[in-house]
Amino acid sequence: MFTASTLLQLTIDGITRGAMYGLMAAGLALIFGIVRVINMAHGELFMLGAYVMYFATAALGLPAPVGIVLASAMMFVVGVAMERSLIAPLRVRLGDRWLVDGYVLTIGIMVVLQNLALIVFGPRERGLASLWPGRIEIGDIVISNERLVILAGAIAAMAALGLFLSKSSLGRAIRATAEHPDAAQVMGIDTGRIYAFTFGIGSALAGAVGALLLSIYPAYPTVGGDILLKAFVVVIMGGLGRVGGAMLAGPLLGIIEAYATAFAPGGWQNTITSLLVLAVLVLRPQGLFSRQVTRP
Amino acid sequence: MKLAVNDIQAGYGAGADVLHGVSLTIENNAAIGLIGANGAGKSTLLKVICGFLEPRGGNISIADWQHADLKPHQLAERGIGYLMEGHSVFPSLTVEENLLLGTWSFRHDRQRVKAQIEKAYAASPILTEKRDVRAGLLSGGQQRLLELERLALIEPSLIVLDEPSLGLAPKLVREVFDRIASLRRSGSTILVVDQSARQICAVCDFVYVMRLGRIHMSGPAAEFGSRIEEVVREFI
Repeated sequence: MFTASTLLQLTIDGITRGAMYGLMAAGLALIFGIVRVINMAHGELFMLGAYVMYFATAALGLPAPVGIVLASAMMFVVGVAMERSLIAPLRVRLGDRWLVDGYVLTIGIMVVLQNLALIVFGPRERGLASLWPGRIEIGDIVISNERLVILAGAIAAMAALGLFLSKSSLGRAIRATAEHPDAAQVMGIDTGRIYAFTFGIGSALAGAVGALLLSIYPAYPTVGGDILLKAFVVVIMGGLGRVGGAMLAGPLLGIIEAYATAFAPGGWQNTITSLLVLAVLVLRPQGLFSRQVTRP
Repeated sequence: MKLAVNDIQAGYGAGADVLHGVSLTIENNAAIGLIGANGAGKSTLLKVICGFLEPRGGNISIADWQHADLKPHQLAERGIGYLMEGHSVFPSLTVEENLLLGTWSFRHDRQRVKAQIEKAYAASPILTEKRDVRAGLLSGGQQRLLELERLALIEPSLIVLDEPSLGLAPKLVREVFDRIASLRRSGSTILVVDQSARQICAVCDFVYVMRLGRIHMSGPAAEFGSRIEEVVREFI
């Protein structure tokens, strides 16, 4: 009953969905890998990005690509402000032992942002009908234009992030700061600014995903919770703090979910995801795509 | 550049003082050695000089400016090169990327970046062969050479070295100290902490001996050289 084209259809759907998980997780991994914060408020940056997109397109009538750029730019600013005003002072005071404190702090930020959104925007879901109507049919396989745009956006964002980190001098400084913050300072790098900038980039990614997905996930104050959970699963699969791993693990999780939805009884999808996390943690805690470089 | 350390007191967190009023002076283009037992406070003093630890008392002046409140990256911008305790390469970045990071303070001057990196490869040819290798995969000696070349890229006016010979084979120790001597010839002022008292005396003009957070004795390296064994046995 499952033909080759059904499998292909599921795979394509899974990759599209997973590309978004990957992008969310890449931001989370970037922030964890460099700033050493488990950012529990990452889903709220997604939520705010979705609201920006809604108001830009539905209220102001701006074109969708402008809305996406606006959402990421505004979340970049929010991320930098969050790091500078709340996270940096905590790091300075606590030195190395601040992982738990950063975690608790971002839970606080999460609650505050959710409630602020509730006060300002209300509990109502604000969504859009399809931004890019229409679909492409190849034989039995159907891909909506919406999903194609989402996939293209995700690939473009990942490629840009990958190139930025691997080729630019700022990207190199970010990687150096992640590996040896003290040595980075000795090179003349202002690591405080690197942390703020990195937090901004991670936040911008979350905002972009929120904007891209608005026609699928309408904006409401607690919309970020579900996608944050998926992003954490992807981060663990890809290896804690590994941006490249997250980008690969995202589509993988998407495919697994798509197959689970099709082949397993309803409700099993989240169980399978959880088992997957357990399996990775027990069998390959460094992540599925990790490569270790040791310091002799 | 000239470095004057006046009556520095320092310690970690809420702990007791590690340095109890340390003073020393380094004239421009001099080479000063600092020796002492483990726990004498040598590394702590270097951390204070390089901005990683805020002193509880005393002050430091470097050339004609005051050191107070400057962060490590600002001191690096002002021409202080610091070889940290232990290994400080970026292990998963390549040799070339490590060197490029050493040019951070003048990264927008592409010609200078290129020229300085070529100079580094010329000074340590082994790094040329390894330019695309991840620095974490180099041997301990090669990593140390990379660290030295990386800090030399800014042509630092003051170079602060914390145990450059630690963990290296005797032949490499000589190589590392030869490189330090050549950095001095090209105009840098040197402050070096090391366990290898003999090498210190060979490279430096003046030696300070630290003990329990204080300068215990000091003198020209030439005088120390002849009785270094005795000093080492007695105080270290």
